[in-house]
Formats: sequence, structure tokens, C-alpha cells
Amino acid sequence: MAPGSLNAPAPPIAGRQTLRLLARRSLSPEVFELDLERPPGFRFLPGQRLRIREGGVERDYTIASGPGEGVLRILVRRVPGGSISPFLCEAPPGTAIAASGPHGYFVFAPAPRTPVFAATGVGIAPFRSMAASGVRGFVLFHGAGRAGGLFYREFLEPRAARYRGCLSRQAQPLPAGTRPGRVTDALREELAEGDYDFYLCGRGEMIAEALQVIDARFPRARVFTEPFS
Amino acid sequence: MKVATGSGDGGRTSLFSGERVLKDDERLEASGDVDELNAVIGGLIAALPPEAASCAPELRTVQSDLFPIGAWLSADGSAPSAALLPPLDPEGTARLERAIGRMEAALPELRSFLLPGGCPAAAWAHLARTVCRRAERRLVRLGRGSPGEAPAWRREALRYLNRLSDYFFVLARTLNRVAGVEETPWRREA
Ligand SMILES: Cc1cc2nc3c(=O)[nH]c(=O)nc-3n(C[C@H](O)[C@H](O)[C@H](O)COP(=O)(O)OP(=O)(O)OC[C@H]3O[C@@H](n4cnc5c(N)ncnc54)[C@H](O)[C@@H]3O)c2cc1C
Repeated sequence: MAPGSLNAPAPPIAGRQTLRLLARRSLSPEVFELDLERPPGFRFLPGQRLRIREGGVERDYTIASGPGEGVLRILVRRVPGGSISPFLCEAPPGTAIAASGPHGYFVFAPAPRTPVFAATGVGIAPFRSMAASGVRGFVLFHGAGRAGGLFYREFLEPRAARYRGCLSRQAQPLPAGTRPGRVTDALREELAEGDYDFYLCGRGEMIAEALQVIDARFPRARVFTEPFS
Repeated sequence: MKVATGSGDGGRTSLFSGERVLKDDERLEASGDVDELNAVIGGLIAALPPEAASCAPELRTVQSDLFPIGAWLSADGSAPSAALLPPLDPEGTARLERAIGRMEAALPELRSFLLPGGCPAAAWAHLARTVCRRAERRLVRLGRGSPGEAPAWRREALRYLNRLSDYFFVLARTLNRVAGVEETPWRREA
């Protein structure tokens, strides 16, 4: 379960780089997967992010690819009227994108306790990277409106001890492996007593509510959070 | 970056190492002292008289130095995330020593205890000194709870905080001198 790369010394915090946009795929009407060129020698730990700068504004995007993959992949949700996400969702391949990194401390801490990953929407990105680096045996709750928003399900489900899509707006009957409601409902109803390390990533409201559930049900747990909003 | 609202309403918060602790946890108390010290330095900078405005950049450097100390205080050396924290740079302590030497050279010799105070900026500097001492005491107490040799960050943080309170004492005297305010010596029969 403990990937060797995590025991490596802290990677260098690289300065500003210009990364070429290699490809972009649409995963849903408002979410895009971007492949960025990975500069030679650029190291990061799964869970870390890039800081992208455009027009004097900076925003963070978590790396979804693993440390062993040749490109840097990010998931971007288009925020209408936003300063940076529309640019990333529209820039033609070949565009030079100013970025710095890796940043952040939301990294996997191997432990005897079961890891529980809880994500909303594009908050799945760090867990895709952690799974790609060899992390296994995790419980994953991924929240989305409909099944089309369960990004990377085919990749994550076989690597998880338990995978559950939490769909808040999907019409019945629900696809296999999913439940109605939100991630926090799953945390409340689907986890047996036990020792867990929780990793929460995505919407700030989900994280705040999940913390209340965890404090009430699992007061001895470790909790790592990465709010996107 | 927004302030995360509501996530700590239950009286708990996460340490850097992931543990959920009550907000009166001693590690939080210690990083809270460092945070308070930082805020007091903000007050000190705001109170600097025009003649001492040149102190502001140095004080802002001190404010920046305190952030990683706060982070280390809520980290646990065993967490992989701790490996990503920058080590505390001994140059910070060396810089304080040079500043103390520079200021002391221009001050009259100290012949008695001084009543903390004087011009507003000097009063803030004395307050910073006392909050700094509290942060240092708290750090010492934390160290007592963990056996074995102190980790490098804690040794460096102790050196830094120890020197920093000396720095504030000398800075308070300097600010009074620059403002033309006389120091008030302590007398047994006040
Ligand atoms: C640690 C971290 C990691 C992140 N990782 C990712 C990631 O992997 N993928 C990703 O897509 N985003 C991620 N984000 C969010 C991202 O950094 C931007 O905040 C987001 O893309 C919006 O930026 P913008 O410049 O397009 O919009 P802005 O110009 O910042 O916002 C425009 C308007 O939209 C509102 N708004 C901002 N964000 C949202 C939102 N999420 N939903 C609805 N309204 C919003 C703002 O309040 C504002 O009114 C991350 C954020 C953080 C802090």
C-alpha cells in the first residue's frame, strides 16, 4: 500500500515554468481533462497541485496523473465568467501556460488505518494520482450530480476496496456502485465503526459537513482536507 | 483563498498531521501564540513613528519567518506532508543577532530594569517581547512531552524565539531613543 515514492525526500519547489498544452478532452459538458507537458526533472507527490497564472491572476489545479506518468494531467471545471478556468477550457493545444509548482501538502500518509477518500466533482483529481502511484485498499466516495460526473471510475474502482458514487440528481434506477444522495450521507450511513484516515477534497461545504460527521462518529480519525472553494 | 467557514464549529480542528484535536490542544496553543505574536508585530509596524519607518521591512521579514514556525508546530514529523515543509533557516536567527548588535551599539548601557513602555511603538515592542516569551515557554513545554533529542526544527525555533525576544527589548529601547522618549528605570519605592 505504501508507494516507495512517498518516502523520497521533499521534491524541489520548482520555480515558474511554461508548460505546453498537449491535448484536451471533454469529460462532461463543463469538465475538461488537460494534458500539459511535464518538464524534465519535474517531481511531485500525488495530491500536490500546479499554480497556473494567466492575465496576472493565479489559480490552483491539482495534478490528476501519477508521478510515473509522462504528462501532467489536470481536471478543470469551467466556472462561467471565471478568470482562468474558461481560458484553460478553450486554449488551443500548443498554448504556453505559465505555471509554478508543485505546491501543497495534501499528500498520502501510509498508515495501518483504512484510507477513506471523499471527493466532490473534480476533487477526484488527487485520488486519481494517489491510485496511479500505487495506493490501494481505499474506500472511495465520489459525489456528482449524475453518473457522467463520476470521472475516472473505470480506473479507480478496480483499485479501491470499496467504490461508491454518490449521485444527487440521477433519475432512478441508479447504476450499479452508486447510491442516491451526497458524499456526507455515505459517510454517515455506509462506514462501519473503525479506524480511518479521511482525505476530503472538493467543495468547501462538503468538507465542512464531512468534518462534523467525522468528529461525531470517528473522533480518533486523522483527517486531511483540500478545499477547492 | 477564502476563510473556510463552519469547519471548526464543533470545537475541533485538524493538525497538519491530520489529527483532529480540540482547539485547546497544546500544539494549537503554541501555534496560536506565534499567531498572536505576528498580530502584535502588525500593531508595532502600524505604530512606528516616521523616524523609525525603516524598521518596517525588517519586522515584516520577522512576520514571514513566523509562518513556517507555526506550520511546524502543528505538524508531526512522521507525516509525509512534514517532509514538504521548508526547514527553518538558521540565517533568520543570525539576522536577528546582527540587528541586535547594530542597535545595541547606539544605545546607552543598561543600569537598571526598565518599566516596559515609552512611545507607542516601544510599548508595542515590549508587548511583542512578552508574547514571544510565552510562545517560547509553550514550545519548551511541548518538547518536554516528547522524549529523545529535539527535532531540528524545534531546536532552531527555540533559538529564533529566544533571540527574537531580545531583539524586541533592544528595539523598544531604540524606538524610545529615536522618538526622544526617556526610559523609565524601575525603582523599588515607586
Ligand atoms: C487547493 C486547490 C486546488 C484546486 N484544484 C482544482 C482542480 O483540480 N480543478 C478545478 O477545476 N479547480 C480547482 N480549484 C479551483 C480553481 O483554483 C479555481 O478557483 C477555479 O477554477 C475558478 O477559477 P476562475 O479564475 O475560473 O474563476 P474566478 O474568477 O475565481 O471566479 C469567478 C466567479 O465564480 C465564482 N466561483 C469560483 N469558483 C467557483 C466554483 N468552483 N463554483 C462556482 N462558482 C465559483 C467566484 O466566486 C466568482 O464569482 C482548486 C482550488 C484550490 C484552492
